[in-house]
Amino acid sequence: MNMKHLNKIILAIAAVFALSSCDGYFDVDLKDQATLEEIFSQSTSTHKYLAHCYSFIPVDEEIVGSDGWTVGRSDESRYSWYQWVYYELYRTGSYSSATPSSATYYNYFSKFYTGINQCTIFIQNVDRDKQDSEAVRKNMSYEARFLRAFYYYCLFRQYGPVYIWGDGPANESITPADCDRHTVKQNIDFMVTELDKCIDNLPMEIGEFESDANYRGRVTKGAAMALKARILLWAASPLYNGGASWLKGIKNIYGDEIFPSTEDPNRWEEAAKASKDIIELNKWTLCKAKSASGVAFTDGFNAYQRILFDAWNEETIWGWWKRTSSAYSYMGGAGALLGCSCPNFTDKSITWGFGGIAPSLKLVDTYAMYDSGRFPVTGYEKNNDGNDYSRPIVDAKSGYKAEGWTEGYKQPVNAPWAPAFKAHNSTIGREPRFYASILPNGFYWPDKNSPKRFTCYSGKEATAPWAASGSAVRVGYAWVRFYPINHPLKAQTDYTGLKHVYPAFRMAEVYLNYAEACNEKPNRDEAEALKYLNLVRERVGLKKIEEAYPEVIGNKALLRTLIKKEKMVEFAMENMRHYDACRWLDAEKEYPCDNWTLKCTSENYEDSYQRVFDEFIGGPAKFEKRDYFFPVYSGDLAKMPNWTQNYGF
Amino acid sequence: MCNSFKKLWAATIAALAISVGISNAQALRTITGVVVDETNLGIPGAYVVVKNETRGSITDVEGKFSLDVKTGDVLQITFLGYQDQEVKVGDQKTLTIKMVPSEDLLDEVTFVAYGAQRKASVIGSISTIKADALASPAGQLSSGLAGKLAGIVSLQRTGEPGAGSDFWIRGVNTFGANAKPLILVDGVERSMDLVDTEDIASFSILKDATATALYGVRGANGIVLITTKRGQESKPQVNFKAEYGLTQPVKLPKLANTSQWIDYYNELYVDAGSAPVIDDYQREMYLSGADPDLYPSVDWVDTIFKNLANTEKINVNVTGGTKGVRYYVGASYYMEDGIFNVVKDKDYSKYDNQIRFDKFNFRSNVDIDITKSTTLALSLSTQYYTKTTPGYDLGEIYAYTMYSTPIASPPVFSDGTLSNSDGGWNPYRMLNSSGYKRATNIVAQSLISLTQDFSDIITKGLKANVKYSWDADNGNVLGRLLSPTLYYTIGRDDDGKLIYKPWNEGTNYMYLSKSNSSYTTTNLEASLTYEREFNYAHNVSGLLLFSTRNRYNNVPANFEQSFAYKNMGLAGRATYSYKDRYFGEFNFGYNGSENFAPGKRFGFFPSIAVGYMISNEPFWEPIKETVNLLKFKVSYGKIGNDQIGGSRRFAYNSTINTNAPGFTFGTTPQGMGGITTGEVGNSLVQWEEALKFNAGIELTLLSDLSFQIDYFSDHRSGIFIERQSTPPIVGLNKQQWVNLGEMENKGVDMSLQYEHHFGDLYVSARGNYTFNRNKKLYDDLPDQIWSYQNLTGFAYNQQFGLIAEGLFKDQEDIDNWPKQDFGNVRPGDIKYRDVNGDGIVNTFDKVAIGYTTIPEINYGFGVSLGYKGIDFSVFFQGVSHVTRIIGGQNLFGASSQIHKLGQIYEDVALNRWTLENQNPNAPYPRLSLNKVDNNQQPSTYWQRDMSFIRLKNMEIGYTIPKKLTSKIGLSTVRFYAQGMNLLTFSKFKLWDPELDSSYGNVYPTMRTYTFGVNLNF
Repeated sequence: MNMKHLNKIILAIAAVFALSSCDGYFDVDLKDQATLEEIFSQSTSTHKYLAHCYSFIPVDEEIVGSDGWTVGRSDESRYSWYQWVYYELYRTGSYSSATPSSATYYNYFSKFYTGINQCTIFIQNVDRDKQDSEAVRKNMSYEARFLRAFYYYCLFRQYGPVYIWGDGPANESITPADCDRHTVKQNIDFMVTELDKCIDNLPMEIGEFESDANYRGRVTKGAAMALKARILLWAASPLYNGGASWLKGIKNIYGDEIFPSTEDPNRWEEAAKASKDIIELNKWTLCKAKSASGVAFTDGFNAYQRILFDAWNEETIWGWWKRTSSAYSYMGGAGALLGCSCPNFTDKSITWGFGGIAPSLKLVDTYAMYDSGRFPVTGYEKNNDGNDYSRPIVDAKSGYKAEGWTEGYKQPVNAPWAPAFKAHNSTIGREPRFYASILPNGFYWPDKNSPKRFTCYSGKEATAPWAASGSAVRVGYAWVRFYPINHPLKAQTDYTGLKHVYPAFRMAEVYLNYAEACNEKPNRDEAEALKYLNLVRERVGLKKIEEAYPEVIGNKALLRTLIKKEKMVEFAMENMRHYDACRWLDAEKEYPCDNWTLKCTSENYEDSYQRVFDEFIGGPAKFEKRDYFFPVYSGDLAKMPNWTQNYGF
Repeated sequence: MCNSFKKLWAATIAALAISVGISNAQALRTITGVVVDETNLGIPGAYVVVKNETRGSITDVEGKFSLDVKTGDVLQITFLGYQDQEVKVGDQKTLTIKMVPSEDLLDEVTFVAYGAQRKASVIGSISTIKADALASPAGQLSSGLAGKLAGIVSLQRTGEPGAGSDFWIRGVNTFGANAKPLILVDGVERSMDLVDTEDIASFSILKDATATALYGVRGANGIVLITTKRGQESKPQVNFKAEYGLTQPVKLPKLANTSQWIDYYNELYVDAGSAPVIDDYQREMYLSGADPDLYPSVDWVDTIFKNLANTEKINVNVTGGTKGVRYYVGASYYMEDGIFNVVKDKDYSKYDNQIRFDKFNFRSNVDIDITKSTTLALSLSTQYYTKTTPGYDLGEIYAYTMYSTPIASPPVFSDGTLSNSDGGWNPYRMLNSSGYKRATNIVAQSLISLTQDFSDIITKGLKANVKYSWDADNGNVLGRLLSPTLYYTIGRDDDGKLIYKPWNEGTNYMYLSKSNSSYTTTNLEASLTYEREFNYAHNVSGLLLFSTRNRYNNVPANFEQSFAYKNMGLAGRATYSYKDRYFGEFNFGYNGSENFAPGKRFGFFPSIAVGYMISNEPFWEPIKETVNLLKFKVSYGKIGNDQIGGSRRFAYNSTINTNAPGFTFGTTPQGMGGITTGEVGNSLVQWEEALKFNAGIELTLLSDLSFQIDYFSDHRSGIFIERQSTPPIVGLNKQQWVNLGEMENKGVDMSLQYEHHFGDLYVSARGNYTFNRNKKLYDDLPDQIWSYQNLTGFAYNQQFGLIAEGLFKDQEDIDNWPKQDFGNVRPGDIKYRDVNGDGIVNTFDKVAIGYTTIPEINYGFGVSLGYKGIDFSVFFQGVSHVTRIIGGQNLFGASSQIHKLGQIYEDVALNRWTLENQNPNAPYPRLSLNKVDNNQQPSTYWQRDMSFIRLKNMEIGYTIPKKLTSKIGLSTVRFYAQGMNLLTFSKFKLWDPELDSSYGNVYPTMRTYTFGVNLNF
């Protein structure tokens, strides 16, 4: 052994041992991680953070598998394609706080609180942005403030009042035992106060500060006013204003009664004023037909179509580009709804036609008669399971015929190319919104490039025949409101290429909210109520309400009923009906029913216009007192042991 | 100096002695001799040296040698595979030395962390298996391990060509990020499945604290220690082995045939209040096969699967050495193809989409003595493997074979038009016209090591070693994918021609998909060892070792991954034993991890062990013949783990998520990405710690029967988990990672071995048994409303579900039962127990049922017999205390596209509850056109006992007598036939119970029949 080798080895060993004391070996200069400071120091990334604050906006436009699920819960729709879209669970009341979040679409409790937290972080940090002007920063700050209030509203509409953090950040070390809901009043006052600040500070147009072309859709003063008006209307409504006896006296752990025990009629005045403020801005009007056709009926139809298909129209106060939940992403935002509501024609002229989304018979019955301007059905006789849709109480003055056929009928609008056919009398003489929304069995599919009659029954010649499972129109009426006339649907791009703006707030709601508040407020203003109700009717060519119903003058209750019907029709499947039916405390009376459909299993067209309740599998629709709010999921409750769960759960 | 080491180094020293060539010139005479084996054949290449001298010789081809000796010299004869012999030279002129085959060297030496110890002195819990017992027709080493060693939990979860097994030591010890053992090949962390079984010299698993402490951070879940073969000085010895095998699935689910399926389909409609949809005429058309285009009737299993697939395995290795240089070189090739029946379509045959796994292994281990006390070792190994598959994943093709109904579509229309059912999938075209994917992996592993013995320079028994390794693992997946236009038919036109409708907008052009991965890893290790015996009584040894490891991800998915994954550690061991009676051992690891904040990075992990070999006491002498060995041992220590879940690195560091959801603004839609706060850094995050205890007994009786049993417990604390208890109203988008989880794992493992020669008959039997039960102690989940739903106190991944009470008989039965909150129920639906008695059956009634999908009990047993040239062995493996909640549309029925994808198992078709078969105890509930949520709840109804015993391996071999083979220059010729997974006994019949699938829709495990030949020369 030679000493040189030895020295080398000892040196090598010594060298590596020397390293072992070195904690610095693991030091990493990460540098990849932008810090919060950096993110907020630049304009682009600050805007992206704001975009993230927007990303919590509920997918209300998606009415099958996302936040818009309340459409399926209400009495305006009846989905036939329900095997994996849990809405059957809601309709039959088969849910509880134990229902796992995987089987619900309403479990957005923590999602919205996450959004609230993100907005607060944004508000606290936005002023670090030195690349944007103070005006731009202030604007963004108030947008986040609006969104935070909006997310509280999203919680409020599902769960009733919730815990309010106020303007400050959430306390991460809050003791779980200290968490409970605040009162209705505290919730509403907080949201309204915050919205007032937004109204004072937000611009009328985002284009006042930043590129309108790039940023249309960010919230403006109008959005804040519209949300405030809606919240105040809710605050005046029976559910939140002492009308629900079973909610009285429930106290939170802080000792406060969660729901008010007496009605505060002044809430109606506040609601009326909030709506009137918007009207007085004279900024938004109802959509009108692009060009006059000379036929009032057709103009009404075209005007109503523009609401959903003409982006950023004059009626939209605030809206957003339609998105979709991941389940339907392959069809694109607008296409998801469309595919689910289109008939599955046997010739496959519509790819992804599933026929699942369909109107309920009640919605079909509600549309007014065009000539008389009256609503054809005033109610239903009751059976054990609630409303018996086979026995509608028909208003004789309306001109509606529940039975019989008309030969040689020409479709009044949307398919001028279609030949005359034999139509059921109940589908004849209805108002333009009926034909814009509903395609009855026997009518022509409104695509001139693919002329085809839509028939759904069990016979061999039916073009979209009944099927017990899978994809079929099983109510007897297809839902065409989401379909732009003559749009081809043969390829995937036909769906993904459709881009629509979902109107989160539109002027028709403001008018109807105002009319409702004027009718209800202590200092009742019937003239104003009629005026604004009539604006909505006139847009689609319907008579003034007092001409159709001379008896409405001086009749607060009748006017209330007519406003409710008008709203159900005007906002069909826009995720409005359920929250209205709840705040009016109507859902208990209106929802329960068997699964009424047309008799689509019949062998021929003529027999298919009978009403039956035994073709749908599934239990009858139920709605009980507990169902006005949804339960907080048990997994969330476990982390807040003293949270006051909603009534009945 | 320790005896075993003497043997290990004897050859080296001998060689050195020869090379130095110092000769003693006094009174020498020449002696000749022959060294023979047990059959009296000459052994070429054996070393013959004079003890304590430098004179020596090597035998020639016939085993002869000549050597200068003087009377009184002691000759030492060494040859690989034989016991060393010492012969005292008298005055004879010639010598015949008969060698006795050694019990393998490995029987006496046990490989432990960073070294080898005499077996007797080992007091850690270590299981070792002979290398030849690892031989199995399976392509991957991990697949051959199940049941072979006490302490191993190994499950073959899929049968895909080239797939290995899931593997744990003593079960699952943590619910944190890393529950898998550390695999060390020649001391370097490497993949086990890349090692060729023929290259393995030893295979050990280290289980307790004392055995694993040196590896500190990485050893908490046990360690697999593999060493590869190295050469000894001898003439080249060649070992050649070739195998050919046939494989077939252990079990394929049996699906309903056309007639059963049509009946089922019609019944669904009748049940839904409709008329049967397939009328008698259509039914007849389907069954007759008169018009297979319009009325197909396809047995998809028959169409998609072959009866048999193939495996091939060839291995050749050469070992030997001359003075100062020893080598082992090996090469092997392995091939396995798939059981899918790939059909070369006339239009799409220009590419190869055969399912096939090919693996090439090359290894070269060379040792060079630079000086008589300095050894340089170089180990090079490469593995190259490819896997070709069709464009679709094999699991997907398998699944659609199971789902597609017999009448969905023809595999291909009779005129050659590609088909796909409208609304379904066609597994035939997924297999045959989807292009192909080819995954290639190239692994290069190199290791250089320099050892210096300081015995003569500083002090006896002191050695130093420096080792450096560099490994690269490069992989890529190249897809040439095809998506041609497919058609379905809607009938025939007036001329009787099929009317086709396109199913998709396809193209005949192939498109490319590619992905790649690349890792390089370097290890540096430096150590000092000391080992010495004093006064023939006190054995002392010590080890001090420093190591660093850097692993680079060369194709990182994000910035964080682009930093080297680093480990650094200092480890030490001190052992002492007195007269092989009393043993004591202290180990420590002092390890650093980059995952923690400065100051928190290093952890100290000590362990101690004591042992008592009572059988070496003088008072034991009277019974030593009967009870040869009895040893007690106990160890206790602390081990750490630094792996954090969710691929989280640098836990102290807060992150920003720049890929968060954004929003769409604009007068025309303009998507905008989002940015948000990401992970919340935690500067307090520290090591996950395991406290391990082990107590064991080793016993040998009558020289033939040996037995060991160990009790173990492992208590983990500080398991990395994301906080679970923060109230949701706080609205955190990311929960912080904290050291809060706690879990324990306890059990026993034992093994029994018997070996005896009855004249020419050799019998050996062995068995082992492992039981472990783990329990979650803390998971930061808040208390559940019903405390029996807390996960703590139960095994990790304990199954929870409802307790089924049969099926509802009738409406009255439903009305009298608590309301079930999973949608509507009808007669024939499953009824569940209202566990909490609140009058409603909902998820609050789900309780812990059964076990987990990882068995608590694992065992194996086998027998080997040898008689003259014939050998036979059989080996069984089994597991129990394992359950699975099964499901899937073959059991539940599909709820959409039933016509195309609603295939069910034959058992379901025949035995389910129907209007005709209203059996409240039917094994399957009512099926419906619609999804019946009530019947798909996890419950005892669907929970199955997945225990099994399997004839894992059976082998019969014949070795041609050496007398015959030596004439043609071969020393051994053995022919053998081997079968793997031959028989399986299980209560569960639908698919192979070992598969990791609740739906049975993964590629099945294979039964293999292999024929092979093994030549040595």
